[in-house]
Amino acid sequence: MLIVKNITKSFHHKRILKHVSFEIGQGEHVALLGPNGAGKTTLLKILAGIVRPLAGTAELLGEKLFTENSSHRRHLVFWGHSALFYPALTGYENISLFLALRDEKVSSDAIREHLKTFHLEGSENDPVRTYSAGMLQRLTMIKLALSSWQLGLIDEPTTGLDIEGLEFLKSLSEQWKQERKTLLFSTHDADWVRERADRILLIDQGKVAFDTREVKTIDIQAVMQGNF
Amino acid sequence: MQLLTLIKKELRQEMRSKESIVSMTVFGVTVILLFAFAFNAAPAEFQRFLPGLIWMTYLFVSILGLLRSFASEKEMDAFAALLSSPIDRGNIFLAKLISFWIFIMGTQLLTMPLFSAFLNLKLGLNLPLLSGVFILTDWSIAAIGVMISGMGLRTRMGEVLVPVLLFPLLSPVLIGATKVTAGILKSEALADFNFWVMIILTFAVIFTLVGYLTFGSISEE
Repeated sequence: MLIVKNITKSFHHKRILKHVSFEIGQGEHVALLGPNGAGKTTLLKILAGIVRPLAGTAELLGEKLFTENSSHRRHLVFWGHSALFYPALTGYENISLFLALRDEKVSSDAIREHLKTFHLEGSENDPVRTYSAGMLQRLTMIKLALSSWQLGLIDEPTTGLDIEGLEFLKSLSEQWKQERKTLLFSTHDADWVRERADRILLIDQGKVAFDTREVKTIDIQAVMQGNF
Repeated sequence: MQLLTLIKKELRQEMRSKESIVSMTVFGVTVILLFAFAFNAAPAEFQRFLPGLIWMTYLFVSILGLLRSFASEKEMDAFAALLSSPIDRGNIFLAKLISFWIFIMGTQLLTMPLFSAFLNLKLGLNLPLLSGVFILTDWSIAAIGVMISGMGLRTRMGEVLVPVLLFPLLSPVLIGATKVTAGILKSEALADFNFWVMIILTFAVIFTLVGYLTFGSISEE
């Protein structure tokens, strides 16, 4: 589904990623682990087309990434550290814009229904500048719930979520599992990895240091600390 | 279709926040009033350097607007959402260009009467030709400016980079605009300043094409 080969990236003469290669199958939920500064966010941004790699190739569903052709980005969605919204636009307008740019036909009733489901009714006509971090995370979940994609690139999705927000995310994660949507997500939440991931990829010092599907049996905290 | 969506988004944001138009207009009015009170010359004397004053004013106004042109993308990193969307990056450039072109023309519509009121600018019969020069020059400024602003978006030195790169690149366009404006105000024959019109047109075409084709590369980190 996703084939990544020899991705290398430097920022200001510092090598962040060094020949990172891996493959992910359809429907896999892969946890990208690693210490701060390991290059997890950079890798996700490279795959999303936000950051250009210095070297390396990648293919998503047989289509080459890192080209001027934008069609492959129809298959992926990115959820980053920042909210990725236009602050002056309302929650409803941001969702509509996101879907329009993906050329996805979703009725306004469906958008309003999701805003209600994710407990954002009453705020949908407020500029997102006025939203709290948790509300922005829920709005991002609505973006992902309403759009059709095959690969979700998600950077620390549980950050800033309250208990209710976490429940929404768990429910979405289960839905995506049933729909065989593929996820590559970074997190520092060991419990989330244990419950939700099929596989762990550990990035350390810019390289894939550890790759396992034995998620239920290994000591995830130890892996996160580099003991594997 | 995506281009239209992006343009509508730019205009809706501006209508909501009014950040660009208000700051550009207020700045423009201030500069024009400053010129009006600083120069104590006879009205006829003004005609000699009025074209230069007009374009100097709109250069400053443009830079102010350009420094804010990607502000909405920076605040919550919405630019990352644009880059990860299945849209042609050239369309992001064109949407920014067209919306900034509309903003700068809007600012000129609001501030030009002040040039007439305080600096004795005679629009009258010159208005159709002057409008043509403004439309063309504004497009050139927008094309060059949006491209440079896009480059500055992903660099820490962005706010320094924009004026440093913009001034030399805009110079030929603004010199041309000044010459053409002067020619029109003096009612010279079109053939006398045709060369400068071609310079402005060439810059408009080249930078629109270069921006459209390279915006993907220059806007990624």
